[in-house]
Amino acid sequence: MAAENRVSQVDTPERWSDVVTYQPRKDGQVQQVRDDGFTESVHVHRQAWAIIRRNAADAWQEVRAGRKSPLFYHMAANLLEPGMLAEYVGIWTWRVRRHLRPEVFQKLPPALLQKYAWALRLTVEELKSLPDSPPPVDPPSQGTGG
Amino acid sequence: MQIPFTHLQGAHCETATIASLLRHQGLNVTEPQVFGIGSGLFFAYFPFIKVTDQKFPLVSFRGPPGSIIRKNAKRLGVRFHDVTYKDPQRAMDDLDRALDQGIPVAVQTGVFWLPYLPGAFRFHFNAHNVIVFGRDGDEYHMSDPVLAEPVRCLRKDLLRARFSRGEMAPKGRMYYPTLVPKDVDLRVPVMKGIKETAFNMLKIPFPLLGVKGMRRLALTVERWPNKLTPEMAAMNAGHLVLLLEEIGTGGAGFRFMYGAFLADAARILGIEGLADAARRMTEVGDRWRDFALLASRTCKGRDHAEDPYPRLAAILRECADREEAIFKDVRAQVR
Repeated sequence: MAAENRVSQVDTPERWSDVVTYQPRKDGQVQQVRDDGFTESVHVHRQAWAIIRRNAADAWQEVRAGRKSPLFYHMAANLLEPGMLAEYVGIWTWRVRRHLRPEVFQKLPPALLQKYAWALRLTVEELKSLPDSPPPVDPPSQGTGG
Repeated sequence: MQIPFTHLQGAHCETATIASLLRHQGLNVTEPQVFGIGSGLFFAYFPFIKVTDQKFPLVSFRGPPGSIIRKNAKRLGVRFHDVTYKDPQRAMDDLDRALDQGIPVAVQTGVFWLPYLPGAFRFHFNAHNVIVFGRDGDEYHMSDPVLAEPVRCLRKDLLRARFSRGEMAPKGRMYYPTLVPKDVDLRVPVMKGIKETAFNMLKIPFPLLGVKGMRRLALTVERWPNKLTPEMAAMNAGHLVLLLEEIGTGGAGFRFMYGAFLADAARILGIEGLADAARRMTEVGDRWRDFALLASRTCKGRDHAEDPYPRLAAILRECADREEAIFKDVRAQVR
């Protein structure tokens, strides 16, 4: 459950094989057709995901080096920014920013950690820790955009 | 419990959702008709509105959110029950109650929280429309118009998706038609839809809307290499592609759908000239696709050497010229 939205998991090999569009026919009728041209946008999606993955990997390094709290990594891994995370948790943005500092994060009350954990769909234990290895940076061989 | 419901895969979530809800209630409209009657086709370029924290300008290929459903309701004489909620519990209870009464319900969701969608698609995008048409315990049967088949989704995931936060937050929004006329003469709604779209594309006295907006964007694209670093320029190009090709809609997809609508309109209104406009509109769609392709190559860095930006601008201007000509003809015919 908690793991399914991680950036490292976006390389699911599912494809948007049948996006549809419409075509007018000569007789004035309209037909629905498979939209093959759509795949053209796929590598831009890949690029977007590559940037997201790179961010998450950088965040992982920052946390590992002790410059940021684990929250920083989990935020990046969920494509969130302090502003949006603050909305989910129900606190002000500047507080989220402050909680990215390891020494502040250490002292957070359990209730607030619980809220963060809920917002990020993690257990409190997972929230306080970092995955053992950084998320993969290389774009997946098969994953496509959508 | 599952309501007998015909899943309809569509090109665009909002129009497909409206069309299949109306069809379920016995009003036989197609997705392109909903798109055309709702005057969905548009172009707007807002350099002063920045999206995402990378500060990309907003380019929109459609009318403002909610306008398609509003215009369809008005022009077809349909009434919608359309509500948002503060309390998630109430939002889910009301959904359950409607389902118990046998009503399929459209819900607005944030795609990031929908586990059944492919991972690569799950950005934080909050205006995705899905139809819920049944429930087994805490599992919901959903008809997602971007997918070929109906899917299932757990209550806790649906709840989260309905109450995702951020831009365009759905706030538990759900809607379904309450009053659907059985037989609608489509001629008047179609006519109104076409006239408004033609006006929007040609006549709005503001330089960033309609074909004028495309030309302004062309100018901007041309200047990217001078104003931005090569990386930023390339990323801007990529951003444009994402806007253009979001789930097969955007620039090209909407043009294809509008072409289909015009062909249909030619038949409904008995105006043969519209069929010609339909063909040309589809051709413009292909040009938009060329634009997206070149822009995505630019983003990937393949075309850096040949300086793609003037070529991108040229395609945009060509699209603007062609669409201007098409809508001028259309205006002359539906007068």
